Amino acid sequence: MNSDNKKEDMEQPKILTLDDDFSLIKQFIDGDDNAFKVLVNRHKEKVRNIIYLTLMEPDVIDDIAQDVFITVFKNLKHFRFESQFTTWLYRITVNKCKDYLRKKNVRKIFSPIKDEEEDIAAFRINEDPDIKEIVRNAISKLPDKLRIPLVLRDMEGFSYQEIAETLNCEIGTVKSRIFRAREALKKILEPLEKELFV
Amino acid sequence: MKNNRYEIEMLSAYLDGELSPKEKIYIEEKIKSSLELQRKLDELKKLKAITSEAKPDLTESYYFEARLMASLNSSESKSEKIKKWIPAFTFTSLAVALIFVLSLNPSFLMNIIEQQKGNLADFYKSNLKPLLYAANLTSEDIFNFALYEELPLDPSNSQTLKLSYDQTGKEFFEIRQNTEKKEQNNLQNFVAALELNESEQKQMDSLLKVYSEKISAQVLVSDKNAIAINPNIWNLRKAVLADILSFARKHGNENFQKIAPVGNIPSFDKNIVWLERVNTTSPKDFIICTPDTVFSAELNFDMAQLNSEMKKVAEEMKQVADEKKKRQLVFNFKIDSSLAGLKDKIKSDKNFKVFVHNNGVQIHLQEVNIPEVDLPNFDSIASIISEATRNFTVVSVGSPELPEVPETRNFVIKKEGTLNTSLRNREVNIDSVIEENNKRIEINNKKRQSSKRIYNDSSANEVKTMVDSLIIKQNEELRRQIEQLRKEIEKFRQDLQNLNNRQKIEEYEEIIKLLEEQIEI
Repeated sequence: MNSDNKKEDMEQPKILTLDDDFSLIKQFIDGDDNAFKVLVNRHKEKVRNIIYLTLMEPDVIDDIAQDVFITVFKNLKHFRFESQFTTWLYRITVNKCKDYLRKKNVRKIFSPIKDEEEDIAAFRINEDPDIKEIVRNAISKLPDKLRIPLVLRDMEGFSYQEIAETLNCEIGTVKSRIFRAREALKKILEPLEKELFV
Repeated sequence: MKNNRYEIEMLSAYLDGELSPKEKIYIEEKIKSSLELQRKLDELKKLKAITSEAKPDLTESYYFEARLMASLNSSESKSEKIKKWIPAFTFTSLAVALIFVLSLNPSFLMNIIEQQKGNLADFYKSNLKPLLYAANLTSEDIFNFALYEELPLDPSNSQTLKLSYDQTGKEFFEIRQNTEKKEQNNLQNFVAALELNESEQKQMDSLLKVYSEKISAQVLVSDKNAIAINPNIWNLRKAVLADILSFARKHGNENFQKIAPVGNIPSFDKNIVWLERVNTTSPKDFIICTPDTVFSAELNFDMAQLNSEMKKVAEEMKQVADEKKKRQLVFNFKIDSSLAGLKDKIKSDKNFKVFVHNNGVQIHLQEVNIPEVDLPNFDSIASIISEATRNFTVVSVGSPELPEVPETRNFVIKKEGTLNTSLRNREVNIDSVIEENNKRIEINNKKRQSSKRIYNDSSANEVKTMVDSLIIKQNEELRRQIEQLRKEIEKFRQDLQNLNNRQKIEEYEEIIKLLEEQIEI
């Protein structure tokens, strides 16, 4: 009976609230592993989206998402209930993405130049990309510092406050970075202005 | 411009609904009054719209939770943690167990090692055969053994056992590949030199036969490449030499004096059979040398039974005429090497020092007791005899070959005429023999002063003569070079006289003088 109820929970997630997350975490700390499953089910899509938007690499999403939740599982017992669970979760997610990017950059230094050329070639093969893809490509060319706040705001609908907490920085910084990101993006898309902005 | 940029930045936040009410009122007023800001706002709105629309549709991740829980279980399972510690735990518990066992029974490990040694010993000892049948020892081999301390280990004579003494007088033996071919007529030459008659020759032959049986029971070889040597072999070697010389002295008389013109031969009773003295004290421990190790172990067998078996087989061998069948005859004597009897009797390997060189192996005995037997030291005479027999062979090369000489013991007599001539000729070499002999005795006496043990000195002499001849050769070379230098100087002087410059000539003269002085030195 009990497990059936939980199944219903998983199938029809309620609106996320502070209290719901907190109570689930308390259940988990009390030894209920199913509570953790519910938490994962509630937040996995958001986490996966953040990873995708931050990295723009569909292939690594699930691996990093798994890694994020393993870290959550290991550290959830030490959760302090001082901030929202999502803030904590997204911060872990963004940090994992940053780790990945750092490692990737290191790999790039030691890998032959040929690989990069192949990337560009693969990018050019798609001869008839739609507008969405063009924009995504343009966004992916932005530096990490500008891209991440922008996608969190425009694609995930984060408030400046949430972005600041996730990225562990000031609201003013978020504001400035989002503006600079938009300016930079506009420049990248300028050659396609007519097609895009009609 | 700066203000303008600030306002445009505010526009971005305004669009996101992130301005405070005051800021919002401020920027809305600004937008109303500025076409540029209106245009900029419009741009930003469009940009925001296309950015928001560009959000990718993520495909659903199937079994995300299931995979997550599986990886959480595998990384966090208790059994995994235990597995990590299993090797450490195993080694620790083994160490503790070993310490415990050793504290209860300190000789536990030694027992295991000894048992393994026993197994190894058993493996190598299982197939040992007396040397007589393994190597087909002939009287010639025994005679050579007496003189040169060397025994063939197989019928083809490719491997030999060499007994020696090191500088401190300690015994060692060597198993080596025989590359040089030895003169095979030493016994024949010796008999000829002594001018023995037929019955004397038969006596000599039977003496060597007896020794052949004794010696072959002291050296056992197996087809597993193992060899067992009884330490008593050193004594047997001395005894056989003593008996040969005693026999030679008894029957050869003057001839013996000629070939061994030694003034101070140790005096002994002509009627003593030295073999009898050695025979009584044969130890049971054999030195067993294998390709892997050297150890001493007891080989229990009934010497009488062995001898009777050996005689039986010898009889059979005589009857079997065919050479091929001879080789097929199986020696039917098994050595008692039951493991139980062995365990405690195997001595430590520390008794031996093994040196391997490219031509064989040297095994020096450290703590193996060779029974002390009172035997005269004939080694100096042995070297003389070997020298003398070598001289006979050189001289007797010219003797004509007789056509139909049957392969029997009596053929020596048929050659009598030619042998006599060789005996007359041998006197050519007698001076050198005496000279050599004096040297040997001198060295031998010196050695005897430093050590009371009996040992052989012939090898030392050989080395010495080699060194001497080397020095002579070097001196000749030097002399030749000096002669050449002198000639060159003479030539140079002649060339100088043709020169006109006096001062230079004088300088060169001085150099020449210096050179000549050096040569004189």
